[in-house]
Amino acid sequence: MKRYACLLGVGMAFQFLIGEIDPSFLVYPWGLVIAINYLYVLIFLFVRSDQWKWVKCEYDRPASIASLSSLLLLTLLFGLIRQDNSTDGLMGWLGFTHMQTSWIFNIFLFQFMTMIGLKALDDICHWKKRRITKMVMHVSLFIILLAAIFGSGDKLRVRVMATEGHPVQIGLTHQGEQVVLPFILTLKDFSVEEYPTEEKGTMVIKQFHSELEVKQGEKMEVVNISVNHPAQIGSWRIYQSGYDTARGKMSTLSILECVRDGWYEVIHLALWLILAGGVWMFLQGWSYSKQKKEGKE
Amino acid sequence: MNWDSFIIYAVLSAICWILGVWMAFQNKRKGAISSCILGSLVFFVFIIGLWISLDRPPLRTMGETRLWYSFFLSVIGVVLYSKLKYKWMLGFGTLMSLVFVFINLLKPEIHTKTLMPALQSPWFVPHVIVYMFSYAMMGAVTLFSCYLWFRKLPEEASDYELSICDNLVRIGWAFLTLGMVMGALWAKEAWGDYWTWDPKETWAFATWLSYLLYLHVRPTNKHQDFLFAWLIFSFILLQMCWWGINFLPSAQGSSIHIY
Repeated sequence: MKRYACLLGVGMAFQFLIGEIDPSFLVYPWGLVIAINYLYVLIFLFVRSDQWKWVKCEYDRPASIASLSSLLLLTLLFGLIRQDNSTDGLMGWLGFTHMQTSWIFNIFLFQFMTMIGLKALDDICHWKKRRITKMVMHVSLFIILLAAIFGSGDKLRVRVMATEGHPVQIGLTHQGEQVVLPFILTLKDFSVEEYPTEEKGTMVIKQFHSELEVKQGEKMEVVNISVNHPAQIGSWRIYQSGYDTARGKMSTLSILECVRDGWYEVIHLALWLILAGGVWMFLQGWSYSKQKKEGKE
Repeated sequence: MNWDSFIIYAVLSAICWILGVWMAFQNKRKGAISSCILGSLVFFVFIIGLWISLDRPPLRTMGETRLWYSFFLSVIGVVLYSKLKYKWMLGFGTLMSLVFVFINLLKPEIHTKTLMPALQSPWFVPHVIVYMFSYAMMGAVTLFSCYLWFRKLPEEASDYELSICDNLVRIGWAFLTLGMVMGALWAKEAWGDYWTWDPKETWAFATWLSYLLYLHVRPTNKHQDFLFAWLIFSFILLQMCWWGINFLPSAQGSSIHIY
């Protein structure tokens, strides 16, 4: 209880002194370096947890309950308070109007990740077959949080306006900063697919496609993208985002979102692991009551 | 097949289900199970027919998701009845199914054959169906916990009855997780972000945490009033996530999930 009050206090102090979190310092390679150091500290603490009682208290059942409840409380506030970035009032001062970048929320998320990380190590070291789903869930959830938190600075999202026939290499971030892409994009063709309409005058869009020529150094390739079907160029992915809706079908402008995400494979692996864990958990079905009778749990 | 013929299928299913429940209370188990399964089959035929006639999965509107909810609840009710032999579990499951059928009769929320580009994804069907199954599972456990909490008996719920709750929550939570992960994989394909703290996502996360908390509290907590209250509280969060955010002031205009 005291520990959580401390975390809350630290969060409030940071929020007051520094303002919202800017994750840009976690850019490659620093995000990765800090993540590796964090992992090292985590493993070190875990190895010492037999001597150091307080470490064990970080991931035992009461700790998991406390951590889950505090995160749930913050998530409820997240859902109930309008996220409009206002700085007015108590909620604005605490950073609860922009929860995603507030210190308090992120400190508790970090504490949640640390607890799951220690628990995952504990699961791996005290490996038991019947606890395999729990282990998979803890490990993959930890990987997701680790990649999401330490990879947040690496993520770059750039909006590119491509007009047919004109090569572009510069895009804008949501903050309006110009970014030079490591490749040159040329829109060859933009097309809109419509539903056959029954009433006249109404047009319902089914899908829209862009045929793009991507030039990276000497290498040149042609990719086709549409909504839900991005193209991959190294650690970048190009998404179909929009077009000139005023011109509709006649649009020669395609709005693209280029996203750089170096942690893509790591998070994907962990997500598929969770999917497998979830299916496994369902297939196990009614095994719990049997364990209960044997008095194992 | 379209919404005009819904009333026929709804009435046929309702007759089968009600007959099934009546037989269950007459201790005619086999008859009860077959009648209820027949009712669910008739209902499923309507869903499939709607799917074919719309040329898209009927998962687009609130009304269409309610169809799946009714269907899954009726199936879960009959499976639990055949497995655990609780008659009223069939009764409550059927009653809740019928409530949702009735809402759909009043407000079917008909939508055209069209699907917007973002929904043109192989993740669309599994994401929504898995969530609907999970919601139905949590509906069943909420009914069960209400029954255990309020029944007029001198003794508390037995360990066996509590373990039924735990199992239902475990399966429901597994499906909540599947739905959430599928949603994340889909969002990455569609927009390039796994998670954006859209109000629906925030409430889905809260619901997920709340049931997860129940699972972590259970092995050491035997205080039944707390457990049942917690299950009902979690179900309120789930309703908030499902349709509550459509009316929540803090979520207005900021969710891509409003439908």
